[in-house]
Amino acid sequence: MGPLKLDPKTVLDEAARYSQKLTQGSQVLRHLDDVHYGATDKEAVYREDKLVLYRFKGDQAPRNKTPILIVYALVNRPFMTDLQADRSLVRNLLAQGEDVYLIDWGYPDAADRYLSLDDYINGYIRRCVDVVAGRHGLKAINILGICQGGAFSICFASIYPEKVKNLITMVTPVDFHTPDNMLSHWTQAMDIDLFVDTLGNVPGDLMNWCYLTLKPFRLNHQKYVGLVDILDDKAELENFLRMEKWIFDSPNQAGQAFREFIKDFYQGNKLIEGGLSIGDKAVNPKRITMPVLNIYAEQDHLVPPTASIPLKNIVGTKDYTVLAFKGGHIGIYVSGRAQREVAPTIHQWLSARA
Amino acid sequence: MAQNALPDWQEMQQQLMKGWMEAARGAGVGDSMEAWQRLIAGNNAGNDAVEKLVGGAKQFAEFMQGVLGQMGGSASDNFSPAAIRKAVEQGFATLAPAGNPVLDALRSLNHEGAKGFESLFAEWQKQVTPAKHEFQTLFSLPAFGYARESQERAQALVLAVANYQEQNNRYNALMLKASRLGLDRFESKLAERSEPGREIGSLRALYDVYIDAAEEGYAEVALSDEFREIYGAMVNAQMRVRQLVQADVERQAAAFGMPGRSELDTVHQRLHELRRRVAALEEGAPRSATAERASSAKTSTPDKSAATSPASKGPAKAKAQAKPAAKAAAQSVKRSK
Repeated sequence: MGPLKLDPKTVLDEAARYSQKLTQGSQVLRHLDDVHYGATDKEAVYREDKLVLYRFKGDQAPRNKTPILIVYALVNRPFMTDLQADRSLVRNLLAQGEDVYLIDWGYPDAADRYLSLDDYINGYIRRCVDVVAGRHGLKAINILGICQGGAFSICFASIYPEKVKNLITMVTPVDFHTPDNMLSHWTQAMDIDLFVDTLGNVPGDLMNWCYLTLKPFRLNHQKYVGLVDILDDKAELENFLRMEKWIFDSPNQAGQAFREFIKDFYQGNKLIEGGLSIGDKAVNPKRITMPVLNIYAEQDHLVPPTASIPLKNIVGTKDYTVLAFKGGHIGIYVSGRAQREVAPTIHQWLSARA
Repeated sequence: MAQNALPDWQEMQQQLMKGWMEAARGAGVGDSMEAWQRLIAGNNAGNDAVEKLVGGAKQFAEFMQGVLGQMGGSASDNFSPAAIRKAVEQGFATLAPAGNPVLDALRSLNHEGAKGFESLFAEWQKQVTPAKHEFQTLFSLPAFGYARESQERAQALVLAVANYQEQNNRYNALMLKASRLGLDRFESKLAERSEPGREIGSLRALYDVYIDAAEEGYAEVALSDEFREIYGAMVNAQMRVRQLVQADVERQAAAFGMPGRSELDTVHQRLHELRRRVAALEEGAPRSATAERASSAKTSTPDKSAATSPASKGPAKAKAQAKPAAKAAAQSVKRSK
């Protein structure tokens, strides 16, 4: 027997259904409204250069007295955490009684080319933390660092442990030299100085292209073949388009910060190997003695679990918790499971350490 | 069974083709999809989502058509993994000009709004090509005299382009290897599915198996030491070409009295250093500019415009706010002296 069990009639039916879906989809596509992300009401509480610090508004007053500051990556927009009303980490945290702030980095342009990691971590993040802490009359706040923002948060908590009450990292790379880290593998032989000196800021489109080439068949072909399945479902189609809009809304990367991040983290793996400095401040993760919650995604192709798990070995805290989420780098924010698991876990963990 | 199944498959093939052709008013599969694109697009012409949708649908339709076209004369029970692999391989040889599914997948990214290395290079090559022809005759001559520097620059550019093409060829060869590996994996996966109860029951399921296999083949290559070296070499070679082209454009712009990238970089760098020094001074000010900004920032704004709107005002605002703080800090420094 062969591997195929195809009946001519069912194959013909399959092709006919496919045709029918496409035709029906044409009607749905014509009547779609423009999609937006960023569902939760918010107010800007601080601005600096292109950065805006937002505080989200919940339906109820926050019960937890120590606010959470979300530090997102520089790549892509931070509103993956608040994509839509029924897929929102932010909204779920608010519903749990948390007080949530978020740094929106904005869109760097050529004038931002020389922004360094020192500017981002010892400058922007530190000032945002001070603003949030000052608004609440606190010395330390909770920080939730995501992806590259998680790596920044580890650096920040190492340099300023007195300003961080609890540290939460989500899908955060720590060990950049694990054998399954394709992105890191690709950067090893690149001349980053030549790259940044030539490009200035690194274009967001180029970043997207790199991400798509991690899984070119799945992300460029199969995904859009699968789109036909939901073509006659307006709500699902809007969800899909909203996600697409987020994926391809990629800010350019400030050249100097990109240079330093690739050299020190991807190539030098200095969070593990040691010797990392941000500006003139040494990063020693052993100074992270506050409680740490590390959340990683088991099917993450951008930040493999093996890259995230070693955080436990480098921090100095005795209160370390880990959550292995069954999903991927994006699913950890938008999947149904994420809505049920992630925010409640964070809230319960924080409440026990309030 | 094979004898009985043969007419059914041929009939199905004809019906399928008829369906596609009717949809396209007499055209083939590719044109059929373009007909759909016109139907779907309506007033959304140029819509990226529509283009991607049609691109994906077209690829799957071509996959179906390619596989069925290659197998049209046999019964499905008799399709061996090797025969199916051959059908897909031949299908892609027709569908993809290079007959290289990986390279095809990567190239097709370029019209998705992303701008990959390859498309960037294609753009620059338009500028470089005339120069290449012009300078190729000078390529082997030693540079001297009044035009020595420009000749050396031209030679460097030709060399850089040649090097990039060489690295690009190495990369393409590696992608061909990834394609073959993917097809090997495809055949293996099909063999696994030959067990009773695990057979593939739809073209879509067959397509999904093919995608899984293609990704595995690609990943194996993309995680190899060879890929790391070649990828790095290709990126570096392209950056050298781009840098030389930039320098040439800058020289031409200077001839017309226009500021170039280097000048702007110098200004940006100096401004950045100045702002860092001002920020450092602010740290010691009685009421920092940070606090002032925090108290004056309470305005809600929509997402993208929120991020872009203050951007244009940011530096000016920061500068205005920095003035009193910097002045106070400077006075404080002065007093301490």
